[in-house]
Amino acid sequence: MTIFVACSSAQSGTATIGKITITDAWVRATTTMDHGSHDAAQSASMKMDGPNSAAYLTIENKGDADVLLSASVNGDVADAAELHQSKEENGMMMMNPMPAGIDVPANGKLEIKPAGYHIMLVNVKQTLAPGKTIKLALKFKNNGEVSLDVPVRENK
Amino acid sequence: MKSDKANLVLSVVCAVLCIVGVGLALTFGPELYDTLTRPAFAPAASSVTKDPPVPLRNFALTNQDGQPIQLSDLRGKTVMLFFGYTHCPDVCPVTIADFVQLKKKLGGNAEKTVFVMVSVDGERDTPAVLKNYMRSFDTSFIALTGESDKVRALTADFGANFINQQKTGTQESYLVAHTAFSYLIDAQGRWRMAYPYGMPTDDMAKDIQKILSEQ
Repeated sequence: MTIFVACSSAQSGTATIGKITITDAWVRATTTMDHGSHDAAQSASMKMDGPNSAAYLTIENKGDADVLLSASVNGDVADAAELHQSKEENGMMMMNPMPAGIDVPANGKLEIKPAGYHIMLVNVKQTLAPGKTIKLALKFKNNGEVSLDVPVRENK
Repeated sequence: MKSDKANLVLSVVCAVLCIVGVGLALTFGPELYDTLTRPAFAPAASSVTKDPPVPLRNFALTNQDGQPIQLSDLRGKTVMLFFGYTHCPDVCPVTIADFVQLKKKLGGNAEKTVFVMVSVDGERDTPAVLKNYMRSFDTSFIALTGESDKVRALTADFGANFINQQKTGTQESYLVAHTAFSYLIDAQGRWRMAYPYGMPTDDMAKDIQKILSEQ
């Protein structure tokens, strides 16, 4: 089996792997706590929990149906990158992990956008400020793995 | 007899309708079937008007500066309030970003409106965490936190709810499922409107301007 690993595209927020093109990728800005305000005892007593964020992008597929299996970021960016879906159930907004991945339709488009699917960044370790980019790796069942630079965008 | 004649007419009408029906089914069947069975697109978000307005019980919570805040402190201003939490990865930041846009659309009336997020995650959302969070949106927005039972009583007044989901998927960190509506309260502390997530900010701005013009 051949594994294609595409180099990150020159243009931030886009990448191509096999029959798949990724565009409009962005990650939501975060602020990190000023830990100067916490005393040592307090910091030691509680496991410091960083903020969460989310990455969004559009996947265009010019081939057969595929599955976005997983996403990942470097450990210095966040503890994990997880595929999630925001879904209203019983009048409440639920975040459902998608451990089996998200279907990418044949000759179609999958939009990972607010209030639908998102790539949740759990426990972000650094300040994600606009102007920065992070490396995001995506693994597809059929088209393989791709890594791309994702620009940080402001909250508002 | 008259009724026989009526029955005959009815039978003919039925037969004609039947033939037309079969014809339509054969012609448009697949499309019609598709239209009837395909999951409909999510209906456009529609707001709920509280008429008559619902007087709200006072509440006392703590803001991001650690100061006590009561609903009665906000009298004289319209209030846009929603329930969220700072670890919310998707829906909450989008809602607050909508509030930022909404504030811009209010123009000169923006000063007569207060934007409030009430945290449904008092365990992690301390005043310091909330203060830091609001820095990335608008520092004039109020973020409130308090004991779980106080917040639960407030959500209940709006028919809202929240529940810890207890997992993100691979990490220990938990998520909170919560009602994602925004609520408009008038300057007399009365609940006037409820907006589902994704309500266009233009519509909310129109309602706020209208309510402000009553005063």
